[in-house]
Amino acid sequence: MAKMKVTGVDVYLEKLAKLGEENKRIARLAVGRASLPLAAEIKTNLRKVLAGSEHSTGDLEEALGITPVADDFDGTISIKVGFDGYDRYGTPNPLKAAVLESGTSAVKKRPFIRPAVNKTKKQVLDILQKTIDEETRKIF
Amino acid sequence: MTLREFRDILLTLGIPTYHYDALKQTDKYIVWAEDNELRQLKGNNKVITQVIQGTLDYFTKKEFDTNVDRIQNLFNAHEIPFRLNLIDNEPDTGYIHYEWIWEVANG
Repeated sequence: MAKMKVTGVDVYLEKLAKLGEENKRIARLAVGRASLPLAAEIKTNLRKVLAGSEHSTGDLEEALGITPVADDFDGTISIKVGFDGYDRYGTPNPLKAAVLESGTSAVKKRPFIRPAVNKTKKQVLDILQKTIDEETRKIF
Repeated sequence: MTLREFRDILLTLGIPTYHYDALKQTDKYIVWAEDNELRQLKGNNKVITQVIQGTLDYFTKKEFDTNVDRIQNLFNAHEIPFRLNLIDNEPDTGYIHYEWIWEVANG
């Protein structure tokens, strides 16, 4: 009768358990890193669409930010790139960004967020994948 | 589908239609604009197909305007992928603003 001996199962199980403990930290790290190129591209596009505008104060660019990583109730780990606060005239920055992005009947649209999302989508996914792979490899 | 073909399809609606901008209108109207390349297909070191993304904005002061359905039916009839991205009521002007994001494969 053939005989097979398997060794190292305990070590493997320990590593799996550690991965289980670390997975949220890894996911938080990954989304944090992945948000950076998107924010940078939004800023670049914003500068382009506002270049030469006599009304531009720089307040909207200063209001661009990245939220802390959030753990949602359903287990989703997320981060947001966007605008907050008010400009020097008391106008909400998210409203200004929305008007710039989609326009109104009185304001011509100058999309800068959606094109940034499209342009960086692959880069963002690559960073997510790379970070998760690297951190998982450290455990194994 | 080229962008000119896309424009010609929109013109069949019979709604005043403008490219890029149309400010100071008084009645219902459409503004469309292409704004970025969503993806491209390459072959033999050449770009064979580009998927262009853009927006179509419909401004109307009429509640439950049937043109909204006509626009979406037109997209479907010509197999143009789209999504309704925004519905905004502008209190200052009385306009209801609909924004669709569409894609056409050019090549």
